[in-house]
Amino acid sequence: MDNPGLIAVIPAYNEENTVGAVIAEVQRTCSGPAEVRPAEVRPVEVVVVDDGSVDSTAEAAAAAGATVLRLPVNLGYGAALRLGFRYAAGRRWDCALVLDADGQHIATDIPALVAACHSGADLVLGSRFHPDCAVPYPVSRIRRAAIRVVSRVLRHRRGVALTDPTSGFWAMSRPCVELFSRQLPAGYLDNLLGLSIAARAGLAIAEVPVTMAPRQGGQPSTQGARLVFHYLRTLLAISIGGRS
Amino acid sequence: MSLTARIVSALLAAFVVAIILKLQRRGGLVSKYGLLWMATSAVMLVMAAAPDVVDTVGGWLGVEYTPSLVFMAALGFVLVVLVQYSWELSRSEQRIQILMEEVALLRRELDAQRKDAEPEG
Repeated sequence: MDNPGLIAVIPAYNEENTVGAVIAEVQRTCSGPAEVRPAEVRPVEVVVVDDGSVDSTAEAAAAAGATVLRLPVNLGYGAALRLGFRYAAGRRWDCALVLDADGQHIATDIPALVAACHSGADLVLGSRFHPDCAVPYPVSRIRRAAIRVVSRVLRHRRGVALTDPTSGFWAMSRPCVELFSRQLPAGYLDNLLGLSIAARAGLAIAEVPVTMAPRQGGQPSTQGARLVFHYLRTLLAISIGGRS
Repeated sequence: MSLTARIVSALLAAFVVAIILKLQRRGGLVSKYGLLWMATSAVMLVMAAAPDVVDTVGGWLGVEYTPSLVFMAALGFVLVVLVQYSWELSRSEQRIQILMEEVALLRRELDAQRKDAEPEG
């Protein structure tokens, strides 16, 4: 039977404690007998991009049944994603997902993202701040302010209005993944640049509300002054295009 | 320019030449950079040996206080070199990233083929 199913890309850096559980969650949500799982989701290939972890992230991911791509050194979230997209572009699937390895994204939200993807959106973001969210997700003041600035820039420069553009919980159509695997520059920083590229290419972008669990392990990728620097770089890349 | 100042700047230029030669011989420097710094130290040597050159050039350009010409030229040169380095570094980073992506994809491919080749059980 022709049933290509889903592909889930999970960038991971030193997440040995959580990555296995995250993979198991995704597989539980997306597999099982057709009558118990949501109609939108189908069997899934989970791809963990190990971004040069020094712990046993890769082993944990392989043991949980994921395809593991190992970067020999730590290149950062954006680079790991780019590799995931390049791999996904050469596989068969009908909807691709990106989620975090630290357990912040809840697998039970996957059907809603996939449904939005199937109903015509090329890029679906899971939003923590969507008006339909039961409880807005708490974030630090710097991050909140940065997200506001980025939202505004995206609205003015690219004409997309989003409540949570920095979300790392995505569902994508094939044209979107192919665009990313072709056009994301090496040195790609963040999902924001991807978002900007998708908007510029005229892809349909949508948001669905998601709940987000507090992170179960690991460290936020960037904090404090580095976070500010990170957003400045991202803003520069979004607003004038080119390389990050 | 006093004799001491001339000796000091000549020594400085000679020192730069010596370092560059040593690095080059050890293979620690790509020849294009070696050439760049050799040329720079040659200019330094000329200025130390014949400081009047600066006044002459300044005279042609209509610069009143000629030592400022040296500073301006040096600053401009350093800026250009730094921008060139930033560009080169960006390009290297991108190439390294693409290389590592290829390594990861190939390793995955190899693992998959090895697994297929293994006898069942």
